Amino acid sequence: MNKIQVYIHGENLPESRLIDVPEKATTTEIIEIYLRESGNGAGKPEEWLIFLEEETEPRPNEFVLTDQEIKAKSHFHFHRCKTIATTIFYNGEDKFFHFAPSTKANHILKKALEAFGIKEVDAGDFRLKLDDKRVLNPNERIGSFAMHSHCSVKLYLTDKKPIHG
Amino acid sequence: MSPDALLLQLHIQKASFQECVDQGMWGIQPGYDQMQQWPVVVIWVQALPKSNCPERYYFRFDLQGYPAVPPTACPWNINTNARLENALWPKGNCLVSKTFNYNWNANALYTPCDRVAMIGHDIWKTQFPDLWWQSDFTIGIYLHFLHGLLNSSDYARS
Repeated sequence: MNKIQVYIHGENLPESRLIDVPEKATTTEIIEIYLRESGNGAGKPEEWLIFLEEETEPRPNEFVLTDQEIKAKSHFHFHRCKTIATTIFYNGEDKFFHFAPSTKANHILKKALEAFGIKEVDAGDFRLKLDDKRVLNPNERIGSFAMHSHCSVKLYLTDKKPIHG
Repeated sequence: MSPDALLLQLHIQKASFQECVDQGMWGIQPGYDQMQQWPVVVIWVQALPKSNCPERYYFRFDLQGYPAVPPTACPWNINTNARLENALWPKGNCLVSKTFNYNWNANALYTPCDRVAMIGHDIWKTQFPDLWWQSDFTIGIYLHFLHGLLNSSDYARS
């Protein structure tokens, strides 16, 4: 069977990877490949959920993916949490959200700006940081930074500071 | 191929770099993608649409000793194969012009991840810990920083 290369993102996998999967595969088969390739062997395959790009609900196990859903450079996100409880802090306030693990940082940034009453046109001047001062890049998925034990993440909305000195 | 060139090649093959290429955020200019002119690599970065400005800016990176040695980059004119003229450097009232400052240095960028700018700016290590170049960084750090500037409202409004 022909193989294609797809992107995987997942729980406790801060950096995405490219792996080979069969052109025609079920969600369960892809989960098994993910667990093998990522070294993320925690839990049983049936505990893991698979999210397709821009989908907020996981696909069922043994689901046969269509040609449009599994093609070269498709993105898949794997997690044992169905949603990530996300608290975003800004200027002494905090806002609370639930996001699918596959949600990208740039989408979360838009939601945060909306919640804090900041114009979307100014989005490019803000960024999200994890509590270890790490900046989230726009394409990173929130689930990559949340563990199954708590299914939650804290983020800090900050404005970009000019480089001077 | 030298170890530093091999390491860059490894890093640009990683998913985190390739995903940004797929999305049109940046790319290695043809003629440099096989490290043909090492340690020089020209990389373009996508910019927000803006009147009388290009959709992409090109940067000539000097990656000697990468990644243990921080990179340095200069805006590049891909047509003349020379340093980009001052008048064509990206502009912004606050964020952008601080980094794209030819009056400070005509051949480097004012940023904590540029080895020329890092000299004499140790305070940036605490002010910008996510940008102060470390030996375990990849070129993506520098490119994400540039992409962020060229897609900021500071750039768009100037």
